[in-house]
Amino acid sequence: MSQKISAFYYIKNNKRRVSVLVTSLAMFSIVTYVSMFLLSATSETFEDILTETSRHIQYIQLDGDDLEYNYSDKQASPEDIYNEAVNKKYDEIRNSLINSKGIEDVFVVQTEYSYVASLVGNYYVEIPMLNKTDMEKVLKHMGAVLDSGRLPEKAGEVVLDSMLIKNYGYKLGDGLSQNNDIKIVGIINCGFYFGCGMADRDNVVFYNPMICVLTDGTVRDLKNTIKKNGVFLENSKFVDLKDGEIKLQDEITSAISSSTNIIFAGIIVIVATLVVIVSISYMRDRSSEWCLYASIGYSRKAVYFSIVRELLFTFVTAFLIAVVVVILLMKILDILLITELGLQCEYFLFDTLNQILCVYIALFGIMQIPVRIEIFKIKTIDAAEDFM
Amino acid sequence: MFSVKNITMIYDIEKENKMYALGGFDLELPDTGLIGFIGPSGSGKSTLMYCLSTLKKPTAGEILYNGKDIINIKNSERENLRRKEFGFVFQRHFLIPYMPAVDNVVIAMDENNTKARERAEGLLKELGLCGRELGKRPSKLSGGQRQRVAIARAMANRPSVLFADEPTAALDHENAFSVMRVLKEYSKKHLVLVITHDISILKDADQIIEMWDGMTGAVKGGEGN
Repeated sequence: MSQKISAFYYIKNNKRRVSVLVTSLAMFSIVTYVSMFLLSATSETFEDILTETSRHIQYIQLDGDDLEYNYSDKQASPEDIYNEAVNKKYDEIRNSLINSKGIEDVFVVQTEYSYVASLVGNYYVEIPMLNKTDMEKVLKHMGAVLDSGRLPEKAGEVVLDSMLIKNYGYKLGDGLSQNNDIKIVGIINCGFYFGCGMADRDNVVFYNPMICVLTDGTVRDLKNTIKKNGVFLENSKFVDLKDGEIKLQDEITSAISSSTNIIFAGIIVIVATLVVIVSISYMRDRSSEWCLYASIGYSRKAVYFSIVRELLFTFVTAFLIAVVVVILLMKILDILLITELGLQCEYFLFDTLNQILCVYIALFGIMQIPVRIEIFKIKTIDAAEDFM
Repeated sequence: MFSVKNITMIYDIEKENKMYALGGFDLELPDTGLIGFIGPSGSGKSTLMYCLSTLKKPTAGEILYNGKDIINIKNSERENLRRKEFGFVFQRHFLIPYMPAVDNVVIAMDENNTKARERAEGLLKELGLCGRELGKRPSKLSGGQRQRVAIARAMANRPSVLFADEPTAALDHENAFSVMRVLKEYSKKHLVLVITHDISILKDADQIIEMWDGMTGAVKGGEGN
């Protein structure tokens, strides 16, 4: 027999029914991918804050228990004693680190914070406040280019990366979210959620002193690096790459992973139900037609492959429609939401794409079961008494 | 063309009260001509036709088509016979409900191309369907029009044997005779086997075979002969 049963006979004459299946599959793909894309705006943004920035700049929040106070000078105020203890520890840390592999510079800084809100959750980023010379070193190290405004010239002024500006909705001249006295005087571009400002060096230790360490991207565990150099900071908090990776895993990735699993499972249940309903209706209506094909000389194999071609067409069409719609939606979301909020996101979600394709293959496989059952039931036309 | 020997068809073979649809008889059929099968319901007419056309396998006996046994043949050979040698007009029209009339004919053809489509349209026009009717689905056609589409589908591959099981049952007299004229014309070069209850439509038959209780009875020429 030379003629195959064209899949398009059914498709072109049953557009509504085919479109139900195509739409179900496409909607599943679109909702899944776009949901993951939006969630990636959280994970990618926080990944930038917690790990990418930490490859270049790390902090040690000194704990009072790690400082050595000198109470011998009876005239010194508690602030002076504290100031001296911090400076002493800073000198000790700097001397131990400055020649270490991967360390480019070390400063003692006053720290301000700015708020970063993602689509789900929020985080704070450190804004180091230094003297002018050190600030310029830090800005250069972070690859910052002034976009608008000016660089800080006096204590209490900061510059912020454009992503931070967009995210919080800052304007030049605004105060920082966590300390309104710190004024934003310039916008920089460095590709990190980062900002930097000037502080009064004399007062720097009185307000949230931190040791700021500039690294070349190879230092992961700052605590261990310091320990190896003979400085022990058992109680101080390290904001380094290792700390960022742990936070990212514990606070962001695992939380998002639970959400994505719930979303994915919910969507699959809906789609599987729709596919089962459509399949039952599809089989019920067509078994008699397949008996007719057998009666006019088509083999079971020919009938089976016509069904496979119909299903393949449906699945491929659904996938292609989903690809086009997803690209359009991502573009729209990027313009209206992601860029507007200064967030970062991932466009090519390999794992999600893999999951979607696996679901397609699984559904295609599941649909073979009723098809095969019906194919083996095919007799000749006398078996199709209730056929129209 | 057909040589049938001791053909037997038993339904409910495993039960005590077996039902003999075909009781074991011999039959010879020519290469061309319009042969009518007439008899009451349950006399085995349709069963015989299903067996001759390979749609059913008889319980016993032999059916030779052009000298070759067609009961115990490979599936591919059976499919080839149904495809190229035999055409069947079923008791009910059995059209595919979602396909337009013309596609219902093309689906039975060896090829699906413009030439095949033109031929399908030509066949439908010969049978009295025209214009927009060719693009209508079966549910939008009258009973007579549906039967014509079924006949066109049966003739799609110019089969050597055309089986027609009650082809005029759903038609008024005028349409019935019109369909029979088409079948008569086709029988000039092919064999056409027609089952009917209505002997009046067999007036041009070359041969009429009566069937009773699964057995062939009198064989006679048509009223017109």
